[in-house]
Amino acid sequence: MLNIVDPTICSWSTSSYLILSENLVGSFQYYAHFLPSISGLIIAIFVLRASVRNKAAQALLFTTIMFAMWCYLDLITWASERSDVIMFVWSTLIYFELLMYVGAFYFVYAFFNKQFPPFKVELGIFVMFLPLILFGHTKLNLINFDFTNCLKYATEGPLWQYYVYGFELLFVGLILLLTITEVRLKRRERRETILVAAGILLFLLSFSIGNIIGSFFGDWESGQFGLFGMPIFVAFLGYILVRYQTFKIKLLATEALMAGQLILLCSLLLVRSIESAQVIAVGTILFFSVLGTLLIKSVRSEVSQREEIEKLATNLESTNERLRIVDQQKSEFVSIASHQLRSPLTAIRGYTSMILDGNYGTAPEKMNEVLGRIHESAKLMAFSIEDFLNVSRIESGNMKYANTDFNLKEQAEHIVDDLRPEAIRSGLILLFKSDMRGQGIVYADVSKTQQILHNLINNSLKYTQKGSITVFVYDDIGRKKLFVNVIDTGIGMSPETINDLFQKFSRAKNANSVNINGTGLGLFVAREMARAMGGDISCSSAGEQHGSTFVLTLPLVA
Amino acid sequence: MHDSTKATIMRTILAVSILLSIGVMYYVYIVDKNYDVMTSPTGPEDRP
Repeated sequence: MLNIVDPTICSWSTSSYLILSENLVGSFQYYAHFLPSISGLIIAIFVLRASVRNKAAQALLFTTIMFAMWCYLDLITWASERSDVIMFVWSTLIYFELLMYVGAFYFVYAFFNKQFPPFKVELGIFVMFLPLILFGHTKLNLINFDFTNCLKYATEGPLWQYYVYGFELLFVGLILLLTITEVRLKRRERRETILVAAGILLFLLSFSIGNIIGSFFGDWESGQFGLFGMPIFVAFLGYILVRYQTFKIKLLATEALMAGQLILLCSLLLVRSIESAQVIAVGTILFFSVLGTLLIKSVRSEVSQREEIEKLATNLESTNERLRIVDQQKSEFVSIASHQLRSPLTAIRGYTSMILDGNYGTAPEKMNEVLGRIHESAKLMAFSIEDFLNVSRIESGNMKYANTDFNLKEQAEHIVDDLRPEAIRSGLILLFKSDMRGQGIVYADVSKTQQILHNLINNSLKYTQKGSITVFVYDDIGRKKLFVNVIDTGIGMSPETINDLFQKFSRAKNANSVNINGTGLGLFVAREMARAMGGDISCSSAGEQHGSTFVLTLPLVA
Repeated sequence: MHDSTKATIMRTILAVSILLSIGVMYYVYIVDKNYDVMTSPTGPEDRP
């Protein structure tokens, strides 16, 4: 057996590191093998880094690794001068080739279905490999080593020519079927589905056709062109990543174009002869003409989208400014209107009070009754106007606070004592309890705090028809806070009502059931004032008809 | 047994089988050199 090339018959130089040989230097083989395999690996690694858990990304990397291994082993068969090495490496190519098609099928399946094929399909694929495992070392795989006329080819047997190529075409058919099904299901944009399938099918078909030409006609030189299906698939995938942001990658078209340009230009370093470089240059120009047109369209669309977004942002800014002005004007209007209304009301209340007190003589009883109602209504109206004014002051930032140290426990107890008669008139029990570790001194505005407590206890009085209201004061020395809980057995609130309770003009939905009048501003004002003094107000309820608890919190000094 | 576990076991068996098969090929072609060589014009040469 001729193992080493006879230099008197055929001039094959020795290959170093298996693939570096003068047999290949300056020829097409390095370009045809390295460009497709490296470009495929780069995009697969890029995609997997962006979505590690994505099954399609994992399958894509597997496919490109198998293709890269195939390219490396194929280069060995081109470069080596040893028949035993060529036979061994050629025989193993059968596995990497078929695994590449399996990987491509898994990629398409996972791309469409977000998971790998079911177990039964995997079992079928496993069974498919059994003939290769059993007969891969026999003449069914490789018949002999063809050294006629200084050729260095292995003659492929029926395992290659019928079994492997047959299964490759079967996988191509299965991928086509998956694509048609996916287009019908309409789970994603049709064009994206077709582009992915077209890219992978072009790659697989060109690869198969290249190998079939070599295997059946012995023209392995022409068969090399079949490897360029991979860069074509890479171009399709690059376009899909830009256009549809597949695999959740936000890739700019210009970046993709530059990356592609760099890879293709660097690959020209792999050829030396002018003729090969000319062929490669023509192919590169054609490739870029098509890809560049597609990508430039995509860049234009991105640029116009950005311009649209910038325009919207400018409009939004000017709208916000207009809204701010309108809000300010509204607050000013409320303030002016409230002041204008307050003056006449003061006169009404003052004079009705004087008449009722008998300053203008004794009025008839019926008139006293009427005057009493006028006085009461004017008083309620004055409270409402005060609420509007408070809101206006809070929103314009003009609410003043005279914060000092005072005993909140004592203040709360006084307010409870003041309101107890009203509670008794309503048939309610108003209780005061405390659990203090400290003295109950807080740092806040005394009158505002009294206003808040009046508001909370009055609300409980209004919304409780029977039972009791308990004012419970306690402190937390560790957190430096003092708590005033107002707990009632009133109409309660639903969770939805609680969410909106502290909004302006918001009232409980069941408020009208107890016929309560109110502006819906009291709690808004109370919480704003509490927060301005370093505290807060919160509320809770076990549900409608199960009472409510309001908690005023203020910072504790001692 | 879960389908994913079965699939993992099967893939492991396939990988091991392929590696063993490659090992056999290595023995046949590199160690034993058990293959025919065709040279022209007189026809294939017998194995060494």
